[in-house]
Amino acid sequence: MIRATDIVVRRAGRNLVDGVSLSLGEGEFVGLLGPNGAGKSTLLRVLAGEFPPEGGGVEIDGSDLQSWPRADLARRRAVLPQHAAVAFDIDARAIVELGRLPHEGRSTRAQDAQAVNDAIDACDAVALASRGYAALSGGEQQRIQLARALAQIGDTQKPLLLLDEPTSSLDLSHQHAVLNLAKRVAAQGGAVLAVLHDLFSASLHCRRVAVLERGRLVAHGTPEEALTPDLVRRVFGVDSRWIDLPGGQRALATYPLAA
Amino acid sequence: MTMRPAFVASAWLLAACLAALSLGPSRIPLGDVAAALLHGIGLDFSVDDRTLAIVASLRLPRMLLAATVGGMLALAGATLQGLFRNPLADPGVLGITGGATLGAVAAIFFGASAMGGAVLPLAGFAGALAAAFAVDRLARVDGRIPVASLLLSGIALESLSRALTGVLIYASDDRQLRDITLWLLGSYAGASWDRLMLIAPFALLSACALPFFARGLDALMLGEREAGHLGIPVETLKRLAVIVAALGVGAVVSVAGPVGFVGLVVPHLVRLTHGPGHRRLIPLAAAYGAALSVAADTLARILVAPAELPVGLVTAAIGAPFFAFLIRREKRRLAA
Repeated sequence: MIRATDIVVRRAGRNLVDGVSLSLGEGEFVGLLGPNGAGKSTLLRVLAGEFPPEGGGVEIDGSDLQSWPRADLARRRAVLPQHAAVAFDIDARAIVELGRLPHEGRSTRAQDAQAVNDAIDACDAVALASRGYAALSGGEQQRIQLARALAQIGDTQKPLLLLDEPTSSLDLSHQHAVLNLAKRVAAQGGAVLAVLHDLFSASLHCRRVAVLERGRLVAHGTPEEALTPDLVRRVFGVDSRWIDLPGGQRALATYPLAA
Repeated sequence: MTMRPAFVASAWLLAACLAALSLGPSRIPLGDVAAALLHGIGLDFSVDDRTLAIVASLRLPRMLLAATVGGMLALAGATLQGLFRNPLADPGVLGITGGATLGAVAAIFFGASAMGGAVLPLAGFAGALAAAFAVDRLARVDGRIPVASLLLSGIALESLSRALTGVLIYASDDRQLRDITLWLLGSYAGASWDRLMLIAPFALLSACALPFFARGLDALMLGEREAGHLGIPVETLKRLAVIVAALGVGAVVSVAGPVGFVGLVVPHLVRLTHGPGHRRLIPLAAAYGAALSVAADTLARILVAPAELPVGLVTAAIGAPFFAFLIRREKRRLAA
């Protein structure tokens, strides 16, 4: 669905992203991993079409991203930002409703309301919707922002969802709930790319992970292929071990380097 | 917009307008006001010449000017606050008011009073546009206009205009000084059909265009990047909105002087009472801005009749305490 080829982003003489190629197909949920400053968010912004990269290019459905009409792109892909401060005092539900902006004139009021309600429901945010956004906690704001992104692509065929640290402020149960939600979007024919820091969650929920280090793609594949103890030690500076979870799942547990 | 807020706003505006036509040094009953207005549009209503002259030649153009200025300032204030995601933004912050002031003061200094009606507004207008373009140039980084750089450029330009205005004031003689000071306080005393016609096209154009930015401004509440993700052409929106706002503000400031507080306070009042959505905020701000301005001017005319106060003093005197009251009432919500 989306294919990025040899992406280079240069700022102040440094390559923030250095020749990364990555593609996502329908039904895929991919985790983008790496330490701070590895270029994850920058790559995500390029994939979102925020600015053209200095080298390489991005295609969605085979057409260059920069040639996609803004409005078409906005109906196709949604982005969850890392930090989301909202100007002025506004109800949480109104934030979610802003996600329907690109559909104005194309969907009915009832469809919009449906998409907004479904999104709020999916993010377990029903109780938050009538409150002022500014009064919500960081995690609650994050869920409202996610609901806004979901409302944006709620009734889209083959949606693309780009999430920049979607779980950073969430409590544990909501972290898993949000990643399950991402899996569900993928399962319904969408593609989801999420910047994640928690290797445990990423290894448990993502079908595929891509690991960035100083702008380069250093590992890419299923979590078990990509996240070897060697790589995790070298890139993230922690030791790790794959562990078996009840229900036959496996996940990567990490712990400080042995001295 | 649902009907009720629009209806309430229109009712206030209508009441303010009727009061403005009726009240003054000589009080004219509403029946006579209506008769004069109907006579004025060619219907066969009998009205004595004096009433007709007061209503049609003095109070009506003045009321329309007050409404245009107030509505325009509030409209521009609402737009700029939304654009900068900053509740303190108003035309003054962008250097637009400063540019218009410098232009007008320069015109007075170089003898505009002797040159007749249109020179002063045109000079103010030119100053406002020059300031808007200068800010746009100054603030642009790699073809984009970051809001922080826009605000800082605006503040720099506003200070520069103020300094240059100060130089002109310093060099003025007594008569120029009086004209300049009166203009600086803001007044609708110079209202005439000619002046109204001079600014009406610009104000109207601006007022018709600004509501089209509401959708983009709503998206901007989420942030610039987020608005971009929602398909809003953010850079285009910023440039167009600034230019359109400068056009309208430059026009009205050039005729009426820098009438304070309306552009800052009215959008806040509407936001506090009707929420921040721009589709509702922009038209309501225009209506309440016009109503406040008309009401303030009426007070300015009757409080010390037969003399009159500069309207800027009245808007500040009404606006500031009311604003303080609202902030107090909404303190908990604002702090959240």
